[in-house]
Amino acid sequence: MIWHPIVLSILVCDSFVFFLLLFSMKPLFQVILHWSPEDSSQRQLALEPRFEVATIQNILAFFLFSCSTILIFFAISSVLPATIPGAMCGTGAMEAMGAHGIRALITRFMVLTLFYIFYQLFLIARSTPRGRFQTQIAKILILVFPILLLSIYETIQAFWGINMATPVDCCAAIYDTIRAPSGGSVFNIYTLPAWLTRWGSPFFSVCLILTAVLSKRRQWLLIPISLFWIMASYVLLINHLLPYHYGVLSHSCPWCIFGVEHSFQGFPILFCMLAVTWACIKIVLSRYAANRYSKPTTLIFSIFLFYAFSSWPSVIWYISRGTWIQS
Amino acid sequence: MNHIELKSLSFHREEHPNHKLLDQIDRSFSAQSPVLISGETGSGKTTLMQILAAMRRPVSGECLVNGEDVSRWSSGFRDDWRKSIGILPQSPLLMDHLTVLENIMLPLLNQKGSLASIVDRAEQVIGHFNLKHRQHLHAKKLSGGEAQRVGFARATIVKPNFLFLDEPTAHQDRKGLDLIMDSLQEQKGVGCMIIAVSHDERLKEMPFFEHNLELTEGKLKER
Repeated sequence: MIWHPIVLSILVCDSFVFFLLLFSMKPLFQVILHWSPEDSSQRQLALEPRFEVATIQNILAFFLFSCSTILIFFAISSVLPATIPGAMCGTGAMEAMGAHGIRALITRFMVLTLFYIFYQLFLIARSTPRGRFQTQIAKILILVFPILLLSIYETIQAFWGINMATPVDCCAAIYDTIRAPSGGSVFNIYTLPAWLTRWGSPFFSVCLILTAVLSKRRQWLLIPISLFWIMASYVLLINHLLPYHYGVLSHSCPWCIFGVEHSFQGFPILFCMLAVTWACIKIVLSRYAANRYSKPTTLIFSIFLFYAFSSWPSVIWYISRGTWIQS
Repeated sequence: MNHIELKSLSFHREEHPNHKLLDQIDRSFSAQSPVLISGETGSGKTTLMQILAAMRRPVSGECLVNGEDVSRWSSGFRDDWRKSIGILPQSPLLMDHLTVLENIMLPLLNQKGSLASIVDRAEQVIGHFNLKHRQHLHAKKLSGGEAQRVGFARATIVKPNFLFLDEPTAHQDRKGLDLIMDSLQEQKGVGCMIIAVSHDERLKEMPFFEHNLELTEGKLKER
């Protein structure tokens, strides 16, 4: 275990989130069992303000959990590598954390996405005088709780598992091994054909924008397409765009970009990737809102910003040198 | 034009389902015609007032305020709507630890405007109700009649669209009654809808109230 102040801050933040959610569970279960908005019984009248308090508690929990997730990214990319022997960036810290590190991040994004869905439904419920979706909101928040527990458990295990006595490999060594055709996994994203890794993300971007602008009935398609977009954009980023940021011919580390050496550029890029998925969720849910349809402006703007933040060094490279890094 | 429509409005307490305080009331009120409702103690006057002000929800039927059943709105919308109404409860519910001026300013604090403009407006209202000499006194030191007038001033300071008054003239002498009637006349002049509940015989004789209703056995009847 590493007792760094940032680790303690993350654990304190997570504890607050846990207790905020725990104390909202009873009214949320009561909403699922007894909610009846037209009823004038004492039980319903008492339940309404308690549900209101529970939703406000969970908005605060959403905010705190977002803060602790940003802190985790900052800790992994900039703080822990300085204390773990051999680590030079987040890749080393993640290696020291073992499987718990990646599981903690995946479960965190699941919790944040569910919190975001809850928040959008909360806004929709607030957009009409006769609020709807109370039972759906309660079900989502109850679903968040076990995933949150898992996420906190994985986070504690990840920090607990850091062994300061055992050195880890630096990112260059790790990714050189993975990039070798024989060294990767079954789905080796580093050995996919260049046309696929280069054009996958723009293709799905066009699909997202066309679906958002043209389709009113099949907007649910935005959710799976956005997931494909994230995977394709990640592949594009590590195979083609990050080497320009690092200024070397071949370096595929997704963590170095979060470091101070690269002005924390990973944070806005990651935020844009999340914003694309969240904009899609917002568009899909907006059909239930009072004004019916959400404009795809946020989605298009997030996609544009993602490409702007991730590809500006490649454009500068090409203008100054007259050639791309890879043919 | 502000108006209220009661459609088959019924209410009973959960513990006494057979004793209907309000029984299938159908009636509409408009801002042009102020309403006075009287009735015996326990006849349901205060309950009706609370339903009109969306502080209670009817067991069945609807209470449509400008066409909307506000009592069944979600709490955020109900809170917003309450900013546009004035309520004077039976007991004025003043904050004892605040002064008269501060009590009257309270409803304006969550609205737009500088603190200085809020103080100016509160001082105007205080002057109107002849409470200037009491404005820096704590509310707990007021007499019953003065406390009722402060409650009334607090209800009207927001320039409400609807004014719901429960025993507005309690503990008032003739001078206090005239001050309140002057203020009600002013409110009516700006299109505010006024519904008062009272036992006060003096109010029943006032021509100001165009509808003089009596609540008996859950029904509203013209006197």
